[in-house]
Amino acid sequence: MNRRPDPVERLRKANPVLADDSESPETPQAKALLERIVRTDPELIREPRRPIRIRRWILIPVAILVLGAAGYVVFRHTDQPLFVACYQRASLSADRAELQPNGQDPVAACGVLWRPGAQFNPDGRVPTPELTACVLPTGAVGVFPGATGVNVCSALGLANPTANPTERRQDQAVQELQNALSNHFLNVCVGRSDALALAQQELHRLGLTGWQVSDRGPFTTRAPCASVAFDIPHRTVTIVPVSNPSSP
Amino acid sequence: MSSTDNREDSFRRLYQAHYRSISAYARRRLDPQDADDIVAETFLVAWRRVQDIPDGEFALPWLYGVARRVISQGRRSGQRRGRLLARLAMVGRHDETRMPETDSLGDRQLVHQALASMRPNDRELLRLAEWEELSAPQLALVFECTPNAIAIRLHRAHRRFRQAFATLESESEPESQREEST
Repeated sequence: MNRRPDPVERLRKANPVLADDSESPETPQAKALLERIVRTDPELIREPRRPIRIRRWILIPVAILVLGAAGYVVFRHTDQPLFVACYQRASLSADRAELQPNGQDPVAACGVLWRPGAQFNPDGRVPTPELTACVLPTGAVGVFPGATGVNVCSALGLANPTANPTERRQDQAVQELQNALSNHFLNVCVGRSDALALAQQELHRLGLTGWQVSDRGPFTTRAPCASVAFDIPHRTVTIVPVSNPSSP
Repeated sequence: MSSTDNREDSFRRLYQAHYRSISAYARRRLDPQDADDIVAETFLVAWRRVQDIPDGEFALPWLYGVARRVISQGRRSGQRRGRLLARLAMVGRHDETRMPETDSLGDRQLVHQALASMRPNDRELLRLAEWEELSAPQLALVFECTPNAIAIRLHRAHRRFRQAFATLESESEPESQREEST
């Protein structure tokens, strides 16, 4: 009997434009476009707006574990976070946009939103305000506009960011731990005992002393594979049973 | 060499390296004319922000993220031509001659119907994973979340896709075949 291919495999095969069929940058049209672009003043280019949205913080199956660590997980260390929250006013209830600083300082990254034509300054009438980075209650970085001479963070009851080198190293190791374990469990079914051993091995490799590995059972035929949750405040990696990522 | 020259050289290299992929990305989602607009707008944004673009394997997902927002903005604002909106809604409408590897027209239709039944973010996540073949860290950059979060989302999107596909497939099977397969 011929077994039909997995639907995801059929999706893959339904790719309407294969890599070999894609358009070369050497075509006259592509070359002309390139020349037109490099003759354009970059400052005149409007960027697509990022939608303002409330990010869903539930990253992994054990919500309660993750919620405690959400800010830390997503924002990483405070001087170079993965995401920053840019606020339109010096208020925690103000509209905010979340963006990736791509290695920029959080204040500089949020400053982009205040440029004429950008999200916080669509008609270009507002001069770019002085911006201040603070640590939000979640541990994330928020950037607020504020008057000169006013300690915006203190006024909002927030802490100022710090860049302690030891904390930063620790944060990087935690980040690497998350990436390494996530990649391990992404596409293959790793059973409970292998997952526990793998987590211990990664903690040891990254020098994360004081961390522990626990598991939340039961692993069953319906949920035989490991996923992982990180409770950073309590320095715990929890192995969680989930269904097989490669089965229908 | 001036910083302007450096900027232009960086951009030219980026354009050469990724034009094919961005063009293919747009053509997988839109008709050729609208795809050309998306390619142009994406590289215009890249030209403005060339110094912010991550290096190496993350440059392309960064560009995909821009292209995705450009398409999404056109969709939200209604400023793009009506044709674009109509085609965005019709996920399955592609030139059939470009799909040589699928089993049959029926199979392709099932794939596109299953995709169309999914939430937009799930649909885009699946296409980026299976058609653009992005890794989890690259997908995380496009969706602005952690690799761990994206792994979970992708796992769920796969599951939903398989369920939607199975439902559509069983509905499309003739009665006799359904009996045989049970």
